[in-house]
Amino acid sequence: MMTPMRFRLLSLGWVMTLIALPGPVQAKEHSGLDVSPLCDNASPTEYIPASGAQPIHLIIHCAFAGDEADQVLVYDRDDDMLDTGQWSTSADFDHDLWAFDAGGDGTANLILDFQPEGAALVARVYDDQNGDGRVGLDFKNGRALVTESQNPTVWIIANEGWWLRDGKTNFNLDLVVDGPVEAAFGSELYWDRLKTDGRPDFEAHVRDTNGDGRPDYELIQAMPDVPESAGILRTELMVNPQGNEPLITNFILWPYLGTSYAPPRGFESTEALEPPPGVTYGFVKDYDSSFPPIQVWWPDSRVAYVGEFVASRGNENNWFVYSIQRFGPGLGADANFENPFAFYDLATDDDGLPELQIRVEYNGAGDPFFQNGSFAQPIQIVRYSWDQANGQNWDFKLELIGRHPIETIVPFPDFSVQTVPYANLPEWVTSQAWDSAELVAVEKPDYWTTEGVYESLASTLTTRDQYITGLTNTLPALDVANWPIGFRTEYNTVLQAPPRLYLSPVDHKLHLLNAQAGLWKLDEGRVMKYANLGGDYVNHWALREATGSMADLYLAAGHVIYADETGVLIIRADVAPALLTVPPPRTHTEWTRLSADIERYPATFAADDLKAMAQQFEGPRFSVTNATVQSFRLTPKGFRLVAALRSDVTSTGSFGPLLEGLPPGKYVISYEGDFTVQPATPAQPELQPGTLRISPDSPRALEPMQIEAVLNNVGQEDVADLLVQARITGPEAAAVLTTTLTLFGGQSAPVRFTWTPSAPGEWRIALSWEAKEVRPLPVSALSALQITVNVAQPVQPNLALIAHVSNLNQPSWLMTLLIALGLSAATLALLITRSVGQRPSPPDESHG
Amino acid sequence: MHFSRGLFALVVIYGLAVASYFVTRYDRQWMEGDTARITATIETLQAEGTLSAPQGVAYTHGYGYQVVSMALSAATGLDPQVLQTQVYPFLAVLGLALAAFAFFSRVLNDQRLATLATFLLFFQPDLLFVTLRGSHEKLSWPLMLIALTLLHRSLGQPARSLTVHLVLFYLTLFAMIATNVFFASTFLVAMLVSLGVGMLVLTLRRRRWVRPPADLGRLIYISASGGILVYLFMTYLYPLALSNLRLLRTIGDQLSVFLLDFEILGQPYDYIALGWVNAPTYWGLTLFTWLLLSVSLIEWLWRAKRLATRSERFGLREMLDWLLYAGFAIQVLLSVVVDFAGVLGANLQLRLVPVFTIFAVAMLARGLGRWLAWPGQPDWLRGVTWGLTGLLVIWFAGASVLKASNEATLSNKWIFSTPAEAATLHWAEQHLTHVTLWTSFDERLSVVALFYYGDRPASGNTYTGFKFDLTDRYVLYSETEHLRGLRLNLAMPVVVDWNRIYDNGDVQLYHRRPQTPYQH
Repeated sequence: MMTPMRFRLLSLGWVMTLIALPGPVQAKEHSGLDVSPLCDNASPTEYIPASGAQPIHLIIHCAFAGDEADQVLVYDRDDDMLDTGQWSTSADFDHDLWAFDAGGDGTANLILDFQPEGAALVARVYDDQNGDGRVGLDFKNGRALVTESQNPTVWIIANEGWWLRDGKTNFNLDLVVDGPVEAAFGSELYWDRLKTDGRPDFEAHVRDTNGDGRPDYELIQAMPDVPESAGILRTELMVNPQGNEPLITNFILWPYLGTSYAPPRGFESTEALEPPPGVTYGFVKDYDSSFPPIQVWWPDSRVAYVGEFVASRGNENNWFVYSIQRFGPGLGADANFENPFAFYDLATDDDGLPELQIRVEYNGAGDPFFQNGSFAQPIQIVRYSWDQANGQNWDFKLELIGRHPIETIVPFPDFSVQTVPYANLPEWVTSQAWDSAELVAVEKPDYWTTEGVYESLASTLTTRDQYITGLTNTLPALDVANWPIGFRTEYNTVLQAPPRLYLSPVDHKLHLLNAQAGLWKLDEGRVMKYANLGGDYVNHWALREATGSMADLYLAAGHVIYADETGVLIIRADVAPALLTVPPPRTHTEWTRLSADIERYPATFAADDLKAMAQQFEGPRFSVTNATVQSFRLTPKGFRLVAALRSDVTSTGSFGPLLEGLPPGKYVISYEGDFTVQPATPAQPELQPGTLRISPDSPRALEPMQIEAVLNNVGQEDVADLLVQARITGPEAAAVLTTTLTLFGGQSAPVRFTWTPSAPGEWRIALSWEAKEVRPLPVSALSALQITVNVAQPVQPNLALIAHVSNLNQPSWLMTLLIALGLSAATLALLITRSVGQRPSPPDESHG
Repeated sequence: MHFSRGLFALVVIYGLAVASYFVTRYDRQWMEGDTARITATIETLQAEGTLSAPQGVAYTHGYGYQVVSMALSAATGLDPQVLQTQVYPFLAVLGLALAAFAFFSRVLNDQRLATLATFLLFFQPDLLFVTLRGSHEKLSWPLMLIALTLLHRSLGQPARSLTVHLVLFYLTLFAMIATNVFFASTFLVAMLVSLGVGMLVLTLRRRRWVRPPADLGRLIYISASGGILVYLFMTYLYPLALSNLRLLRTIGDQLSVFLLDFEILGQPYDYIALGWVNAPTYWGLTLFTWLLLSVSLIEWLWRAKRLATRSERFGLREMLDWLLYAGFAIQVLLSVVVDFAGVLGANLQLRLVPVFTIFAVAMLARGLGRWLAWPGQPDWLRGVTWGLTGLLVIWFAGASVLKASNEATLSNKWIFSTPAEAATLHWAEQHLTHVTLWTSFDERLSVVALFYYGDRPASGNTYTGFKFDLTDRYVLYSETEHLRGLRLNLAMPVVVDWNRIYDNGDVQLYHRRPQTPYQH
C-alpha cells in the first residue's frame, strides 16, 4: 500500500533530478490569474464568517457544470481568508479546501484539498468512491475534513511549491492516480483491476524544462495489478521538442481542473453534457488545443480522465513512445511496441496539423512480448504516411517491415530511452534496407486519421509474425475482396533495399520501386491490377471489370503492348522505366520538390484509360483487330504471348507478326528481335515414361521413402499453378501429398514427394494433376500413373539393443545387483517373518 | 530388541542397494519431468537469492525442498544436479526408512512388525519411484510420518512433554506445508476424514451420537490449526502458492463438467496401454500393489468389524493408522474422479497412491503379523508359507525396482538419455540461438535440456517434444529415439533434404532447408 509519505518520498525523488526552477512560495500567488471562460474573477463570491463547526469560507457562484446553481465552497484552513469580494484574492491553492457543488444541492461532487508539504504543494483530489453520488465532507472544530476516504483518487505534487506564477502555469508536476480513471492510453485493458485502494495505479511526471509555462515532456507509468507477462502499455512518453504545447483553456478556477462531457468507463448515465464549441475532453489531446487534464464527470461525481499534458498525436512536431516494457528513472532504457511514433511539419506552415507521420512498432531481439522471446532478432513495422498536398488528407503510406536494432539512447534530464532520435527518424527509415514494403496511395479525397493510413493489403502483422520471422514459407493470403475502394497498393515482400518511389511514365503515378504486384479498386465493379513481370518496375497494368471486360497494357523489350477484347496495339518505343526516382519525402525541401515533380508530369488521360496511356508514346505502331491476348510473359531476350485470333483478323503497321490469313485459333507469338508465330497447342502435362519410381526400392514401414516423377508439358501453352497430387491408399488411412509447380509450354519439370508408410503391406500410389488451363485426365490414362508398393515390416527393436543403449557400460553389474537384490530381499523377508512369528504375543488387537 | 534393530539395519542397507540400482541403471543419466523442473527451481533460487518473486521458473506449491537442497549444496559443495540425481536417492531411502520405522513402531506397537512394514514399503514401486526421483515427495511423506509419530507420542503425555511434542508437531507440519502446500492439505483433509470415520465408528459402537473424545477431538484442532497455517503460508509467506486456490477452482469447474455433463475429460489409465510393452508386464510389475490393496482392505474391514462390535478398544493411539487409511483411501477414490475430469494432468491418483501405501502397509503388516504368530500352524504350512514368501519376495523385489526405474526393456516411458544425446543438446545450446528444436516423442530429452539449461536457456532455444510441428525447423535425430519410435509404432520426423548441421555418429541435428530469405 502506498502511503502519503511514500508518495511524498517518491515525488522528492523526482525533484532531485529536475532542472530547478527556484522561486519563493507566495501567498495568494494566483492573483492576476488568467481566468477560464467558465469561471472568472467576476464570478459572484460570498464571504461566510466562521459559524459553529464551520470555518470561514467563500461561496463562488459559477456554472462550472452547466447549471446556474453550481457553486464552489472554499474553506479557509490557514486563517488568511479575507472578504475582498473576489475569490481570487480571498482564497488560495496552498492551504484551503475547495468543494465543488454541481447543481447547488449542498453536497460536494469533488473536493480539492490543498496542502503544503515541505517546499512542495500537494493537491489531493477526492471524488465519490462509495457510489452515493457525493464526496463526504464534515466539519470539526472549525476545520473542514474529507470523510469520503483516506485515499484521494488523484494526487498532484508541485515540487517547486507553486501552481501559477507570473502568468505561467507550473508544468513541473508529479501525479499519482489511484482508481478507475483513464490516466493512460490503453487502460481499458485492465479497467476492472483499477481500484482506489491506496495503491497507485498510475504515475505521471510532467516537465517544463525551460520554464516557459508549457510542458515539454510527460512520462506516464501505468502500474495496474496485472501479471508481469501481461501485454499492457506500461510506460508512455510524450515529447514536444518545439516546446509549443497550446495553453490549457476552459479550466475551472484551478488550471488543471476541467469537465468530462462523457461518463467514465462503466457508467451509463442518462444525462448528457454537450461540450461548448471548441471544448475538448478525454485522454488524448486534439489538434492545437489543451484541455484541463483532470476532467470530472459531474453527474456521478467521478474523475473520468487525467488526460495528456503533452499531446501524443495532437500536434505536428511531437513524438511519443508507448511501451509494454517499462522504462524510466531508475529503470532501463529499453522500450518496445510503439517506439517511436512521430509527427512532422513538412510544410513548415505551423498549422498544428502534421504532413508526415512515422509510426515504428518495435520489438528488440528476444523481446519476451514478441513470440514469447523466441525471435532472436529485432523486428519492426514502420508506417510512414504523408500528406503530399497539405490538405489534411493523407496521400501516401509506406508500410515497412525490417529487422533493424534501435540502439540510440535519447537522454532526458532524469531518464533515457532507447529510440531513434526524432530528428533522425525520417532519414533512418528511408535510408535502410527493408525486408518488406508496401506503398498505399490514397486515391480518394478526405482521408484523415491521427495515426496515418491504416489500410494495408499485405496483412502486415501476419506477414511479420509468420513470414518475416521465418516460421512459414508462404505469405498470408491477400484479402483482395475486402480491399477498400479508393486505395492503390503495391508491395514487395522480399525488398531487401531502401524504399524508393518512382513516377511512372505510363500512368504518371508514384509507384514503389521493385514492387512485385499491386491493386487499385477503382469502384465496386472495376479493379486495376499491377504486376512486375521482370525487372524493377511495374510493367503490366490490367483493368478488370465485373462485367468481364478487360484491358491490359504491357511494357516489354522496347514495346508498349495494349490489348483488349477488340484487338491488340503494339507500339515500338523505348519508354524510360521512370520519370524520376526519389525516396519518400523526409524534409520540407524534398516534400516541396516532389510536389513540383508530380505537377510537372500531369496525366492527360483518365486513370483507368489504358489505351490512352499506351497511345501517349510515339513510335511505329502495329495493330491487330479481332485478337485478344490470353497470356504474356517475358523471356530472356524478349517476350512471349498467346493470342486468340478470331475470323477476319486485320492488321496495320510496319512491323509485327504476320497474323492476317491465319485461321482462327490460338497462336504463340514470340519476340526476340523478330516476331515469330506458331499455333498454340493447349497445355498438356504428361508423365515422362519410366520416371515414376520410389526410393528405396524396398521400403519399410515407419521409414521415409520418396516418390519421384518427371512431367512434360507437350503443349505450347504454359500452365501455372499445376497442382500435382500423389494419392496413397493401403492398409491404413489414405494420404494425399500435393505440390504446385509452373510448367512452361514444351518444357519438363521433376516432382518429388516424401512419405512415411505407417504400416506394412501393399500400398497403391496414384499420381494426378489439375489446373484450370489443363483438361482433366482421361480415366484411361490413370492406370499409367499408378504404382503398387510392397512395404515391409518395420525393424523390430530387440531387447538386447535397448539394454545396450540404455546403459553402455555395466550390464553385468546391473544384472548382478538385481539378482542380489532379489536374493537378499528373500533372505531378509525370511528373517523378518521368522522374527515376527516368534513374537511373545500378538500386538495390540485385544485391548477390549 | 537388538535382533530387531539389526534386522532394521539390514532393511536400510537393502533400501540403499535399491537406490544404488536406481542411480546406476542408466549410468546416472536418468531424468524425468518433475526432477528437471524442481532442479530448475533450486537453481533459480540459488541464482536470485529470493523466494518471493523469482524471475525464472518458480515452484508454486512451496519452497521447502528447494531450500533444503540449497543448504545441502552450500554445505557439501555439490551441484544441485548431482544432488538430485546421485545423492538424494540414497538420502531419500534413508529418510523414508527411518521415518517409517519410527511411525510404524508407534502405531504397530512392535519393532519387528515395524521392520516388516518398513521392508514392505520398498516393494511398492510407486512410493519407491517418488522417493528416488528428484521431487519434494521424498521430503513431504517422511515429514508427514514424523508429524504423525509426534502426534502419537504426545497422546497421554503430561503437560510439559505434551507441549514439546505439540511444538515439534506444528513445526513439522509447517515444514510439510512449506514443502508442498497441496500435499500438506491432503494430509489435513485426511485428518478431517479420519475424524469423520472415527465419529461414525463411535456412533455405531454406542448406538447414539456422541461428542468426540478428547484424543479424537484433537484431529479437529490439528485440521483447523493446519488450515490456518496453510492460509498464512499462501497469503503472506509465499503468495505464489495462491495459484493452488486457482487450481481448486479449476478442479471445481472441471468436476462440474465431468459430473453434470458426463463428459470424460481425461483418460488417466491410458498410460497402462501406452507405457509398457504389454499389459501382462504391467500387471506383473504391480502385483505387489494389488495384493497390498486387497489384503490391507480385508484387514481394515476385519478391524472395522471388531471396532463396531466393541471387540477392540477405540482410541486415537490404537486407531491412528486405521483412521488415516480411511482418510487417504477416500481421497484416492475421489482422485480417480478428478483424474477423469482431466485436472492436474489427470494423475492425482498416481500422486496419492504412494502416501496411501504407507497406511496400507501398516494394515498388511498387522495382518501378516497375526498370521505369522498364529500358534496352531502345522510345520508343513509354515514351510509352504516361507517358501512361497521367499519366491514372492524375489519377484516383488525385482518388479519394484524395475518399475520404479522404468526399465527400458519393459517400459515405453524411458527416463534415460544417452551420452551422445546429451552431447548433441550441449552442442545445440552452444551453437544455436532462439530456435525451436524437436527432440523426442515425449518429454524424454526436453527435460534433459530443462535439467541442464533451466527454464530459460541462455541460448533462448526451446527444446520441444511430443508432436512434430511442420513449422519446427530443427530436429534432433537420435538413433535411440528412432528405436523407441519403432517400439511405439511412431515414425521419426522426415528430414530428407534437410541440412545436417551436427553428427556425432549416434545423433544428428537437422535444419530444415530455408525456403525464403527469412529462414535461416
